Amino acid sequence: MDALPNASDFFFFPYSHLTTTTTLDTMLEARLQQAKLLKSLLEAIKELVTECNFDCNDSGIALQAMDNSHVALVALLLRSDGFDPYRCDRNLPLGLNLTNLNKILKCAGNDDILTLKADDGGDTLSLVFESKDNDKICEYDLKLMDIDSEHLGIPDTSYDAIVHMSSAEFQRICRDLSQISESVKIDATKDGIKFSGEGEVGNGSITLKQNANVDNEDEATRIELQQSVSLTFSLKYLANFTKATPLSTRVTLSMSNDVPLLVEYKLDNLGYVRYYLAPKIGEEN
Amino acid sequence: MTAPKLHRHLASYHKFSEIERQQIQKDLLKWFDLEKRTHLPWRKEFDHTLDTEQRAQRAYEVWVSEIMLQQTQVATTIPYYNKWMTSFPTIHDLAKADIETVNKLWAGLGYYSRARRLWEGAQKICRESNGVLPNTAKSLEEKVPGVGRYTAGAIASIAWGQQAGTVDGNIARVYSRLRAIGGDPKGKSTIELQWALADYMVPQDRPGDFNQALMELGATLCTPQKPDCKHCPVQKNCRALEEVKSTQKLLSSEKRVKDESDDESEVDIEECHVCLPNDIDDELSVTRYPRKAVKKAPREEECAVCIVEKKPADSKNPLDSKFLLVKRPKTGLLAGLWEFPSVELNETCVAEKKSAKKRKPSKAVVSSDDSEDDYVPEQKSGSPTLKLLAKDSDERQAIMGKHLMTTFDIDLDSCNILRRTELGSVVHLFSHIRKTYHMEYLEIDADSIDDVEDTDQVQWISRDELALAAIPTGLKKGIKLMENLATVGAEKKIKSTPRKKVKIEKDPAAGTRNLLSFFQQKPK
Repeated sequence: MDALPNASDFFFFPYSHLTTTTTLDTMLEARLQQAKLLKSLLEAIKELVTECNFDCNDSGIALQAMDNSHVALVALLLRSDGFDPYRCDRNLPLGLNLTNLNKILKCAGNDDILTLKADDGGDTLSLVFESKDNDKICEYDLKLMDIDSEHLGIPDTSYDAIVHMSSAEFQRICRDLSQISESVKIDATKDGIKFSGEGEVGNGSITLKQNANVDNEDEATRIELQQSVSLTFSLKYLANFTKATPLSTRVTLSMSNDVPLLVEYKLDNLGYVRYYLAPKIGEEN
Repeated sequence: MTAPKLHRHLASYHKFSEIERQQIQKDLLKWFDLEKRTHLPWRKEFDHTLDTEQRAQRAYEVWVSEIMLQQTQVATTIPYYNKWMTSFPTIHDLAKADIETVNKLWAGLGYYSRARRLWEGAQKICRESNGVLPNTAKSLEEKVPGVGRYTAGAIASIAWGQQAGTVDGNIARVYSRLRAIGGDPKGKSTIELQWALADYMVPQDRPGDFNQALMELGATLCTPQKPDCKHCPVQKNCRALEEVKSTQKLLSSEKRVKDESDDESEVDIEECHVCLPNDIDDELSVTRYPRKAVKKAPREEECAVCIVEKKPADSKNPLDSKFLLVKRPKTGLLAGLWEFPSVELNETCVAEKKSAKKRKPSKAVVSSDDSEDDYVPEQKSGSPTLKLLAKDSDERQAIMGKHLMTTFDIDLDSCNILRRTELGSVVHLFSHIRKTYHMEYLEIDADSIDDVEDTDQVQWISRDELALAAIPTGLKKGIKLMENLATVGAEKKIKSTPRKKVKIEKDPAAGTRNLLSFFQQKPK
């Protein structure tokens, strides 16, 4: 094998200019070492939102969108230092149809190097996938759309209960309780966190004790508690949020009575995916 | 383990001695200084140096917090309190506000008449005494609307430093346990006893802190279920705990420790008439005090609701539509909130039933005085217990049509109805009522009805405003149903009324609150 000549010895590789040079009118250029991250991110939000703006500026790429029913919100942040290189000269909203973006991202290999590019005043987003060995380059252009985005101000809340737990465990719990119930009641106390559901066939509950699983920090459940909380949420939405599980081994649930739940997946050093879900209407009044 | 029957005992069993009084005051205040929750925005240390004006401001803050905390959990209250204080930092700001702003800030807290009374109270106090709330419990209770005995005691002691006792749910529980009061918790004699204890126990020095300490104890340790007696600062003075301990001892030793007939022989000492006989299956625990109140089943009520949308026929833009909202009466359930046109379906008086019985069964009978409340649809003769005015959607629609005609001058026979469909039924639980809202949705061509000026009782508002209007939670579910309908059947218009109720459980968002009620839209 070693004796065989490399293909580039014979052929001029026509696309190399796409990945290396940056023309002056390019507004945004962001290069990710692994396409997998963006692929997973899209999987994590595309069920909730179909169209939204990716707001790019010099600090990074952010997204905020509500679902159609206005009960859930996803907020995403990719900091500029997670990219190499990252350049964005001024604020640039990229209106995208997530279903279509996902179709294109499916064409990228997990380990491909991914570059996002958009021109000033252009109406497309360019995506370039380079294979790791630099022997294959794919370029796709996706049409941008004008999206009237509604930005919500999310107040800083000091939550009464903050639970750090394994994201896989959380996914498992949501999946299991979905079998019997449409909603889940979450009770967080100083001893642990309890998820319970009730449906036509019966009821069930899962309690995770606050534990000091020192051997395996990924599995441990930690609770920061100011005050016990008890809240009920739609399981369908929570199960939807757990599509972000591949992005992080840990998830944080932040709760206070009668305010939206915050479910956060941290992306190592790069940013976060946050989901907010309004609580179910209680029986107060 | 079952407790033995509550023994007969003397009235003095429920009293504190002077030594106990001082001990409890000392222990409780010491505990409060160490353990009190400090994240409550309305809690400030009592400051002797405040002048009257500053103290009056404290009185306003305490008043607002106490009214908000009635029937509402602390955690829920905090954001509302902060929002309120930002909008109305002083009593004068509140008095100057309009009731719409006040209700909007309150939306979600429940018991809306509280907001109205605060507002009315503020106006009265500003008018009569330049914004300074009275400084004694008695005059607070007399002069300020919405301030009852409890709130008056709390404001007088916490803000004005008056030696006034007070009893709220938490304090009632603490005293019930400390003095093993086994009377009906709603009974007059029980309540009077608790107030007598509260007035006796409150110290001259730091009365506000003492009252707050009692509330705090009830909220954190002496909780309704699973009280934490081990950490209780006044456990050694607790009769309920003493009973548990002595009974345990008695049961384990199988010996009678004390013969109660001794007490009974002393005829000149008053016996207790407050306590009820013990329940047989009462658990042996301090939680047997206070006694459980006998809970009445919530009243069943049904109500027909119609979401009326007027829409320019040639417009495809949903934002051009307007929705009809009516203001609820100033008193009663959900007072002063906005709602869709609705008709209560339960109001049948006895006389009406009789006259209906005499009539032959007929469809939609209109009673002689022709008011919409007395409108009675088909009734089988010989069914005097019939309570509901309408049994199915046809009858409800008939009643609603009549209601729209008489109240809003909307004649469904002459205007162009684009769509009329049942949305389904939603049950909302109030503390004392189980209310079923039968929702329907009516879309009218805007050109076929007369434009009417909005009044302070009736308004046509846009879809955006609908999300922000002060509409009770129960009816917001109706908006949700309508939005679902709009997304499901946007193209095909349903001509006939579907008989099946919409199954709301299938929508994962059903029953979940709107995020917009928590997060504000940023201006673009």
